[in-house]
Amino acid sequence: MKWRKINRVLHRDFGFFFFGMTIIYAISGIALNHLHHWNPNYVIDSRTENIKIHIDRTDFSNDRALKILEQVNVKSTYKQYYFPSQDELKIFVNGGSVAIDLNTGEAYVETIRRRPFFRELNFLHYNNPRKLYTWFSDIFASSLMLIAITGLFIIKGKKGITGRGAWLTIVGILLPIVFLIGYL
Amino acid sequence: MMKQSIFLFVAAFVFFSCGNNSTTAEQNTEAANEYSMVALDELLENPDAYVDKPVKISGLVTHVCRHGGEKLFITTADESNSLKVTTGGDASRFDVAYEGSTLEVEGVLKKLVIDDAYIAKMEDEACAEHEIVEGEEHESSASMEQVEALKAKLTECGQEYLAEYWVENVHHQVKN
Repeated sequence: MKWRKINRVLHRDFGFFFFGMTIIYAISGIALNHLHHWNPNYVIDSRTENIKIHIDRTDFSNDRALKILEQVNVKSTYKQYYFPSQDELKIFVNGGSVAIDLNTGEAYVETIRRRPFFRELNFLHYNNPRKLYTWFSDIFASSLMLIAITGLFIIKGKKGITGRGAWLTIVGILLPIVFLIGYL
Repeated sequence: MMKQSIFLFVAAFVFFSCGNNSTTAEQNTEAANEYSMVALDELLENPDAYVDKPVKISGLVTHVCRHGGEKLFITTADESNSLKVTTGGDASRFDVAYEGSTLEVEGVLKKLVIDDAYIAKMEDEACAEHEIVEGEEHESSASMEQVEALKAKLTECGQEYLAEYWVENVHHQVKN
């Protein structure tokens, strides 16, 4: 078998096999690039309410916490409460919390739910599963190098690596170096 | 052609799979350590006695980092103080759903010394960041604000350094 044929077969079959992984890492890569713009893992909603219950830290109980939840229209299952400071009470429920300013009676209601799809992709991108997935993702990363290198030699002639391909490859290598010089 | 293709694919796959056979040694060593239960108040009263030692603590989770889930905070029984717990061991990220639950953590207490040299280094980095992201005032000013806050805190406490303590998780369990 000629080397160019082996090269083409490797490029093609690894390309097919790792299509899914490439898309997963590309989508989650964009999502993680914009962490300062959004939260790809959770959807967080909030609203402010005013409550009319006198809260005494020394005389507070689960029943009073439940009454507050009723007043701010939170129906999720109650978990626990605590006082982060002299002027603040926080009540936790499943999937959120209510933070109350004891001076003003202002209640900040926050609900949190997992963002479907992106959370799962990020879970893989961050290698949160570890164990066997570490192997699989290492193989994927190595295969990306193989796909890139074999890709250089797919086309022969002036559009290949000895012609236009060489210039495009050089520019593609130089660009990250320019960014490094500019930003590092 | 089909046979060649499959052969090449399998051969290449096996090639890439070789050379990684030590993953559980560290975990086993960690598991062998004994974690003694320490009340959070007791630990925070004299944290230096526990630095780099395995500890077992328990407390109400008051906050979990929203973005990467890389840290959380647990509070003492009287809610007067809290301690940061960072990922590691069996946790590559903490779930926001832990908020409001009692968590039992086995881990190692770590200490960071924040002195003049540390703050100067932080200031240099913040300045460099400011030059890079000229258009993004929010990010750079936040770093400078942190530096200024640390400077003020260090002056206020009148000591040579500030100490930050946290527990690096090895194993954790939600109790309720």
